[in-house]
Amino acid sequence: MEGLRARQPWALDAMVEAHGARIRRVVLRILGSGDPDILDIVNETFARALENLGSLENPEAFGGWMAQIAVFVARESIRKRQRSRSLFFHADDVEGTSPHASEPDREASRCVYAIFALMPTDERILVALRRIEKMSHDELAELLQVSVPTIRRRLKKAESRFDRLAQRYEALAVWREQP
Amino acid sequence: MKTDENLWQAVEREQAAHLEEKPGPGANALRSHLATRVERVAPPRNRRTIAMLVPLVAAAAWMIWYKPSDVPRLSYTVSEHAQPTKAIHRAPKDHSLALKFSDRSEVELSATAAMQVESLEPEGATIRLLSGSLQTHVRHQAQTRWIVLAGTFAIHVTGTRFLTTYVKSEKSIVVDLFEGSVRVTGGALGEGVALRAGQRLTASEHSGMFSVWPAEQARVATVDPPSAEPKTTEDPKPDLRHTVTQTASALLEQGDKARYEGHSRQAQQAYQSLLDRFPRAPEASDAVFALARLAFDSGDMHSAGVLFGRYAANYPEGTFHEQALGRWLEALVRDGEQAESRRVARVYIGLYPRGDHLKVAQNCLQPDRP
Repeated sequence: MEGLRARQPWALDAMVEAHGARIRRVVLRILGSGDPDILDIVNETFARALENLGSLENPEAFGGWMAQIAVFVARESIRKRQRSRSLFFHADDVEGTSPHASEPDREASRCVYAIFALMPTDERILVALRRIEKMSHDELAELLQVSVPTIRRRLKKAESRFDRLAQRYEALAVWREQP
Repeated sequence: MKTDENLWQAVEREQAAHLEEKPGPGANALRSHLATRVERVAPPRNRRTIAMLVPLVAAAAWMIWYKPSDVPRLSYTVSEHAQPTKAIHRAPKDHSLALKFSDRSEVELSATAAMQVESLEPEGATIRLLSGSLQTHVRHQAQTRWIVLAGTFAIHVTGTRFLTTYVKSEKSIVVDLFEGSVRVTGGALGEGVALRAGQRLTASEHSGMFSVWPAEQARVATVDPPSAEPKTTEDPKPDLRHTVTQTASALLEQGDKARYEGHSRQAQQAYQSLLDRFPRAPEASDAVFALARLAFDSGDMHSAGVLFGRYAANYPEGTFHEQALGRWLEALVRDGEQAESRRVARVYIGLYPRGDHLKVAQNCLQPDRP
């Protein structure tokens, strides 16, 4: 921590090494691989963490605290785009999905993030972290600073909205549970 | 019907491929990001210059802003009794309440409305409207600086007459400007919206939506200013929710009737009034769509695009979602917004592969399209 406060090069290296992959994954889950700003948001997360080191009470919780900042910065980015309207559908660019993935996987990803763009920001974050990042209810509760029952309730509402919106995508028909 | 778990696994696989092919965050990238942020605050090589300039700027600012201590701050009275700063004033149920300021400016709270005088300066005052309507008449002088705050909104005044209504439960404001000019900031308004005499601005913190309407409708507002809460004159103990629905649906009906009869201006007023007074009523989505159609039919493609886009963004489960998205696309195409129309076309095709506007969407995505 002292090294980070002094912005020692070795401490920055260690921080990125230890937490970079997870933070990047969290941001990727929320924004989708079509988003060109993922690395900027990851770097901004680190920068804000460095600025606010003084407010971290328990250094052992550094990883979780960083993830909270990452969610906050990603949410801020989504809302900023929504305010500027033209980027309302930003995350659905098919060109942005990985060309090395199979076509059905790319199509699935594109559809999911197009649906996310139609959902309230907090709901899409919840569904993305639960379904793609496979976070448990306890992890989500800690990350989003709410109780587990609240997470369950919000998740139910968010997933139900996602399912309703998904009905409109013919491309997703193959991914629906059969009755 | 629920989504299969395999869908999420497919997304995970796609993202795993993305993580593998793209470089992850590195300490060097972070360092350059940090450097950029620092430069944004103060470029290191310019620090010495800045340090030299600071005293000069401070001295200039002191010369511009310094006021001799004998310049008095404004004072004000209510019923000819002097009042202190920070006092909260609430108008009685049956009549309005007038506050008179020493610069001859006046504000008048409508019945039941409440406000607080937050600060008094030599050039003006800062007033916070807590609820209801406030009529403001500021006398213009050499350096007039009045601010009316309502929720997160701020109205910056130099010299003018206007009516502000703040609906606390909806966190929305309506500003009717009768004379002069003001700039309204806060909420979704960003750096601000300038209003001219005769215009009405409506803005909501909840929805982030705002609109500015022309003179004719604002003049109607001077005759019948929007009520801060739904009017309930018939029943002494009304069911508020029922009254809201009834009134919103009546306004929608009024708007539809006017539209079918070809009176588009009256229709526009009725729909806008619905949105101003009941932005969260179930009828609000239909009003947005109807306003968008009116704009489209009148050839105002820019407004039509904004309104259809608002419908598409705010009511993804609305009855007219497909039509709104399609008409948004048409409006964008006609307005020459190519990049935006391509984005909307992609979404349209994804959501409605057999929709009525499919051809328009496909045309937008033609590679040879200019």
